[in-house]
Amino acid sequence: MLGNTFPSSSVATVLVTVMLILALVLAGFSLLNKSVPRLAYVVIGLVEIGLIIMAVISVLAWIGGTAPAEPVVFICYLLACIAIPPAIVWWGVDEPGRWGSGVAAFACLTFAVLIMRVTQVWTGGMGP
Amino acid sequence: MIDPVDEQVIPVRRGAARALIAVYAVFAVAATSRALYQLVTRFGEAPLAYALSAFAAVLYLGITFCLVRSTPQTLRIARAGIVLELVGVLIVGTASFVDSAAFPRATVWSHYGEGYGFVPLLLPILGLWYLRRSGSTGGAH
Repeated sequence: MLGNTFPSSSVATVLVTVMLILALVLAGFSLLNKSVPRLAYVVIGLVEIGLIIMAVISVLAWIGGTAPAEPVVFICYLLACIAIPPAIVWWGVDEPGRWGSGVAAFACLTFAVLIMRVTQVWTGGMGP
Repeated sequence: MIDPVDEQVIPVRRGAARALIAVYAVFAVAATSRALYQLVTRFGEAPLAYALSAFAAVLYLGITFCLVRSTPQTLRIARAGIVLELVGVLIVGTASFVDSAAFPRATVWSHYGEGYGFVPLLLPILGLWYLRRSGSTGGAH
């Protein structure tokens, strides 16, 4: 199954790009000691929707016969990704100031890395 | 009534502590699930690397727990754990460069945590800095 292309790689690319930019912006807010801005929650909501679309496309491809190279790791990473955006909102609302936006920036970065890992474990390009 | 000075200081300190705990918690979860998966499915491929992954996972879990409890005693344990973590990152990071044959598979600490954006190297430094600055361990006074 090596060499499989990830079924929704364009969605994945958009998600990674958006979250990397958001991580930079939130890091800036953290340096300025500002809370997570409201617009960030809108972006995070859209990212969660995009992620669910990505997950559905992947699962449909899986049902269609192209299985991920590392099924267990793939599922675990995907579930972790789905949990991150709600966690960011929970944290950002609960913790004002630089430590709210700082942790949110770190979470966005983690999300981007996890999405890259999701595509890697699907194609089998890299072990766990 | 809350003293205005406390109002200025406490939220930041509390926020910094929580942020540190958040990052440690992420590493605890990530390292534990990764180590479990590696140990269960392919321990034979790289026993040393995977055993070290498991050690790192236990350490991250312990430090997270101690930071959450945040009593003087658990903070002392946390500080010892973080020192151990820093030593581990430095030894494993150096060893993975010097003797790459012993590390055919990556651990959290390989190449000073390169696979995790060098956060594993920065985390103990930030942790020790925070504990020193907060002075809760008694060592800073």
